[in-house]
Amino acid sequence: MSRVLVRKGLRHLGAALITLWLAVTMAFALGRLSGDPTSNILGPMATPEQRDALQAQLGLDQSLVVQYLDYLKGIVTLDFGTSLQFYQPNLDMILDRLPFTLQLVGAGMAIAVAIGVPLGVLAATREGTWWDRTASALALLGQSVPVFWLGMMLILLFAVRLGWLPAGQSGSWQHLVLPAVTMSLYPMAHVARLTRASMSEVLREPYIDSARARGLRVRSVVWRHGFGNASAPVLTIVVLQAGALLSGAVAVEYVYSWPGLGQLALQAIQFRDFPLVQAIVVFGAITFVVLNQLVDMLHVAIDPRLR
Amino acid sequence: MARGEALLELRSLTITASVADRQLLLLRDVELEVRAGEVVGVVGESGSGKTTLARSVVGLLERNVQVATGRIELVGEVLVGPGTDLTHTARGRSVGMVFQDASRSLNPLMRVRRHLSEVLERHVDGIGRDEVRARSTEVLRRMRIDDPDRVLDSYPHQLSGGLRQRVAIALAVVTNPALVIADECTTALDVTTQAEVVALFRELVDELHIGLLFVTHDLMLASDLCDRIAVMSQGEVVEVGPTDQVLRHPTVDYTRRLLAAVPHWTEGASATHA
Amino acid sequence: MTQLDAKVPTIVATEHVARARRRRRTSVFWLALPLVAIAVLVVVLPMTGLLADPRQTDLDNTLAPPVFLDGGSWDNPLGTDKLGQDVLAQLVVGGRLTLFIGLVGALVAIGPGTLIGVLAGYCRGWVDLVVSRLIDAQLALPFILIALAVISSQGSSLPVLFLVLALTGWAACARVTRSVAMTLRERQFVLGLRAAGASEPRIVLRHVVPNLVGTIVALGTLQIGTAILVESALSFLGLGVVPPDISWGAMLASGQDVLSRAWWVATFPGLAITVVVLLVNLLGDALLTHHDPRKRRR
Repeated sequence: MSRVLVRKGLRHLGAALITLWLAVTMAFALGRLSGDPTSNILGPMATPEQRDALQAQLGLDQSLVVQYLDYLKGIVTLDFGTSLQFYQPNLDMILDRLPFTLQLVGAGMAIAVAIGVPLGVLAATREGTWWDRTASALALLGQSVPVFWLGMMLILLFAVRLGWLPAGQSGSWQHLVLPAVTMSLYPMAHVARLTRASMSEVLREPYIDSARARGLRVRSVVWRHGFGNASAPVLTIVVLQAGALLSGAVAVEYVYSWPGLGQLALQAIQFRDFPLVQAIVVFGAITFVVLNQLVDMLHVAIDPRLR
Repeated sequence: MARGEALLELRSLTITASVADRQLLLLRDVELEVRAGEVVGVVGESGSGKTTLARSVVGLLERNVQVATGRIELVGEVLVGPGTDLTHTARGRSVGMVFQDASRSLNPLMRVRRHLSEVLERHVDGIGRDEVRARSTEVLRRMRIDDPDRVLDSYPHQLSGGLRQRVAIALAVVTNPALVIADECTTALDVTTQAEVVALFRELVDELHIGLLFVTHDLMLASDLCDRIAVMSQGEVVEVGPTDQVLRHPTVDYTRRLLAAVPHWTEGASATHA
Repeated sequence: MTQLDAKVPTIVATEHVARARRRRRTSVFWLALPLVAIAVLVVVLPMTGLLADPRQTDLDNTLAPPVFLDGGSWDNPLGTDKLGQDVLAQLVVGGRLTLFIGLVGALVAIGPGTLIGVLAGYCRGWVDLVVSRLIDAQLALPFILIALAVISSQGSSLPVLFLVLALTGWAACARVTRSVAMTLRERQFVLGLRAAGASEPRIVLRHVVPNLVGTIVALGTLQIGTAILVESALSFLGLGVVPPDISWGAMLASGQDVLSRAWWVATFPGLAITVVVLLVNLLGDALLTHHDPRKRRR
């Protein structure tokens, strides 16, 4: 029994490592599409000497194979290089910003789940009714709004007009409210739609009828027997969305001047800080693959049939 | 409950479905009763309304299906009638139900123990943890399960089909309901297991004096188990009476045709089948 | 009582399905209609001369409010931006580029995505193994990171934007077409064709791909919405469409710094994006239901 589990775990880990390797390789390839980013970094006015110097600094004067191996070695030894604009190790800067982003993503995902799941359950239990149509339409609307624009509108209403909440920066919990709400919208819509789809499938299962026939409370039937079995895809999307937002909340962080990873990425790109961009991309890919593994483990913990 | 007393009474029960602004008749004027200590079989082809009949007693009809006229009484009290639907108070407490597909009528994420404790805690007021444990073990023993502790600690997927069906039956009877409804509950099982389940039901009825409404399309099975049989066709009960009488001397054509469709059906075949 | 009918099931089923199918077909039509209307409008309207010149700056008339507010006038129905440019004219002309990016952005993702997906799903074996891993790896990179990686080395331009859209869109599309191709491959009619000696490329081109068209169209429609959202986000950050080119995303960027003084500059393009993407998503959803028999049952 446990040996099977170990073997399964090892196979999973192997697959994850391959995915990770492919992802970082893709990141490398994407960064080298033109062969030489230095002209883009230095601009058209640069002299050949400047260009050579930068190429040497970035290791771009070596062959692609050597560059690639250096790159992989850096990742394995957790050496993410040094920033061109801040002259600091990239990893330190990423870790400095990470708590802010974690705070934002954590609050945003909490809101998304707290509203999205009940909304999806409501729609599924009243399938085909007015409730269902309204909830589904709201969810689709949530997936159609550009989130950062919603952020601007929220600032306009709550910060500029009503003056209830601060419009930007970080610090107190009041600063967190608007960005977190903004951030939550897209995952909330996604979670609601997925919950509805998954629930409406589960509610057709015979064990739901038989739980009802046993006279259990509606609450137990819907949540313990229904949502319990419908939660797997929802869980997946929650964790993966969180992973994507960790490094992908660039626009929201920009709108609210939130000092997280997304802002750092934006600064890096505006100053053409090539090593820092690459470090953030690799960091994002690693967190994503790790979270993917975490999801698999959670599924096993929830569903005895997977053990 | 004394033997012979009427438990379940269906009186001129008519059930309709509203589909696309039309009313369709699912059951028409059904009259049926089940007495304590009696097994009543409901047989008929698929679509004849037998499942609708079974589900109406526990109030598990689809949203667009409703009782149009007539009433359902359980132990002398009106369960479903004009303007009343108290099925939710009876479910699991005075009526237990066993469904067709046992492998899917248990929650795959919950151990058997949890299934049983959930029902007991819901329906037996003030029950303690020790009593839950004792009654869970006892009901599985009654299901002729030799190692109840192992089964209690198992997840549904770890059990065989036969064991799962016994657990499903245990869940239906653990609260000591007066009536049990079994809807095609042996269809998914192999012949040997079917025979075991049928024997088990007979034992439960004889020992506990419960009433059993046994819905099946399998005439052989019905003839083995049932004291009385109701034949359904197109939403109506076309014939009802003691098993022997219905099967040996059918009075309507429909029953004759049903009997003719059973391979190797001869008079007295029921004796060899058991 | 004449309408009471005891022979229910068959009648119910067929009538129900036919009715639902009719309703779906009309819903697809009514969703597509406004989209086409918007597209025609943004293409034709600038040719009529009714609109102001979207790039005509007027520094005496900056941040003029829309007509329904105090101080607004019909000269600039939706007001002007910080350079005195007419917001309505910008909205219409920006719509051209945004819709164009949406369409082309969807095509560049769908094309390779479908090709790779069908290849993997149909060929199975090591091809499928490699492709599946690639899809996983691709999906492990959030789109914004891919955009950052590409734009940091390439700078921002329209071709780079399309490259980003292709790179971020192909995997999701390939995943779906792969699974559909996989089930098609095992379907009776394909097995029959193979038994009858039809060549594999012929089976794929004549029988498998046509059966995929519905799914591909639906995916492509949804991808248009994604592409428009990606465009708006990147342009907003100054990494996509940049002035003097006009798109809805670029308009949002220019509206952000005057948000507290002139809300209309950023509000209208955002509304436009929301409406178009919502319509596209509704249409894509309706099409997907149309072509997914599993969903059709509901």
